[in-house]
Amino acid sequence: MTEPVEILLVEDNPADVMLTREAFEDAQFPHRLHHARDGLDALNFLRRTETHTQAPRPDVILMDLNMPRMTGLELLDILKEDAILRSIPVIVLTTSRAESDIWRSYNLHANAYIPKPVSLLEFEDVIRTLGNFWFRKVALPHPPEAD
Amino acid sequence: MSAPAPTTAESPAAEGASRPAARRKVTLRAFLLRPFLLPFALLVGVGTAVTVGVNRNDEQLRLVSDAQTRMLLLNDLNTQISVMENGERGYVITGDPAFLAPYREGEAAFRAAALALHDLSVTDLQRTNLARVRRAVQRWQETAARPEIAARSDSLAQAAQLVRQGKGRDLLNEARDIMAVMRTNESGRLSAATAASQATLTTVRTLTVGGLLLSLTLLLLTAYRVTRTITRSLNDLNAGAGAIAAGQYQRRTPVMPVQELAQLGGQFDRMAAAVQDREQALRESAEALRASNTHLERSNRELEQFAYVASHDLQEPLRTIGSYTELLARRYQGQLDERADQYIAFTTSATQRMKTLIQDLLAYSRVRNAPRATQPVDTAALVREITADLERQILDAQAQVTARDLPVIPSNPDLMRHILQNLIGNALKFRDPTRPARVQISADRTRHAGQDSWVFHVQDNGIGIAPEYHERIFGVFQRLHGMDEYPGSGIGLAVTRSAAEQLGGQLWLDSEPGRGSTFHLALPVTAPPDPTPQENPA
Repeated sequence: MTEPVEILLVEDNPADVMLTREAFEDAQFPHRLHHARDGLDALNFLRRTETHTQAPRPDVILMDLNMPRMTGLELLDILKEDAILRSIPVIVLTTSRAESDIWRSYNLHANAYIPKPVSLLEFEDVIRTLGNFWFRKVALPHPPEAD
Repeated sequence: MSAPAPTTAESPAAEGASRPAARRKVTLRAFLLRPFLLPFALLVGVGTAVTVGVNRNDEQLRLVSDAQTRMLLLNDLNTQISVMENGERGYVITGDPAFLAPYREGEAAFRAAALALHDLSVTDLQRTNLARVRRAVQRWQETAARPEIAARSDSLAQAAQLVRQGKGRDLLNEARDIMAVMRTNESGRLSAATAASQATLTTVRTLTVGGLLLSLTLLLLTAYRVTRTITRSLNDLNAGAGAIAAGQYQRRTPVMPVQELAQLGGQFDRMAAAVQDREQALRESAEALRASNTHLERSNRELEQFAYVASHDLQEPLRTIGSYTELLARRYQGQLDERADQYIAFTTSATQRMKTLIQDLLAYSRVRNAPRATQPVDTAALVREITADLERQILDAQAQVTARDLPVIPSNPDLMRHILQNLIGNALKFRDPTRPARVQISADRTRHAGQDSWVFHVQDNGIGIAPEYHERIFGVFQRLHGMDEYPGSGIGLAVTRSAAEQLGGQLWLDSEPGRGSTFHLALPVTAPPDPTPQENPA
């Protein structure tokens, strides 16, 4: 458990990236936060192509839904079809509260759907809770060849 | 001015050409009666022929009767001649004057019969022959009878001498010969007259039977033909009218042979044309209505979608502003000057207000687009949930919220929750700071606006609302208080009323400033069908 958790944050809004980064730092979990600016960038990261040849395999993916080039749902669809990548837990973190988005996310096997809270305090609370659950309570999968 | 003249002059002709047969057609009376003229004329002919035949027969029978009478008279003449001759001979033989009496009677009877025969004679020959007979008899009297009678008064021998000369006998024989000829003639005439009468009777009989049979046949044929034509026409007309009645308004009734039927058909056709025109107009206006309805629905949907998307997308940058202002406040509080802290405070509160506004707008949009699924809603449980959600405000206001007599009704749970949450929230918000808040939620079943309804009441003892504002508070962005007094966007009641209307209900209030307000929500027990189905843009 001393190993820092590898988190991939897929988010196009730099302000949200910074907020999330700060919230995680405040929460003080041993972690490394990596950032992909949209779905395509995230795929490159996961498949270690283009600028991400040295990328580690993330333990958890946090993703927004509304992004340019490749949306979160499209990325989710590709990930869960991919034999190597589909075991990585995906947590959708988005401003959308639309029933259709929630339904489609879970239908594509998202592991959790969290609507972004409006206020900073609540957002920090969500990050803390999320970290507590996924990094302290949950046993995350490790591929056999990675060990 | 000269150009339109030919057009107007032409139009009646054109109109006449369109239905030329209608004007020249026979009337029903003529159509029915005219075919009977021939058999009728035939009957009249038969009648006339019979009358003429009977008259001729009468004439011939009279001729027969006259001929018979003449025969009788001829016989009588013959007899009287014999009577006179016998009387005269009797006297000549006996000298007894008693024999002279028949002689004289025969003479008178002969004269009378001859006169009667003369009257009955119709031909010159008859009259000539009769005259010769009378002359012969007269000469017999003058040259034989009277001299012999006169001679007998002297002596029998003298008289016998005269008789022996035979002059008298010759004269009488001559008369008898002529009369025999006359009888033969008369007999021929009699049989001719009888035969003629017989022939006339036969002709009349033949004519009568033949004529009657012919007219009867013609009558039957005519009646059959007329009824067949009328029946066929009526059937055709009936079929045409039936087809029109069944909705084939482009159909026209078939051409009718009779004026009245043609007129009737024309009326049907005009009716069909009128219906066709009206249907066309109706179709067009329905089409136009549908088009404008579709357009309206689309623009409505687009507008609602826009409201949803706009408020949703507004939230995103607002969240960033809010979060970073908070971060700024938290991390740099006291490191900047007092004025900077004030700026940050203003930004924070404005952001908060804008958040409320956008969330209310989103709620409004959601309520407008809420799915209309109806299910049993336990309003008592719903109020319990709402008071649990509002626990913070209830504690802050030291409020006492009570509920009683709340039913389970078929309704939309989301809309019901929205309405009750807004009303209870308002009751807590607009409390009178001088006294602890009391909110009571109740319901009763009663008639409202002529409909069996559940009427819910949310009663508070808050600040109340002046009557002039009772309608205004339901408008969008309508506020009665400063933001620092009572926060809010001014959308809440507008959304609440909209939700009530979507449930087919009504929302209104009673209030007295300073005493409190009671909001009433009436929901018909049998909710009317949704008037404007809308789609959820999300």
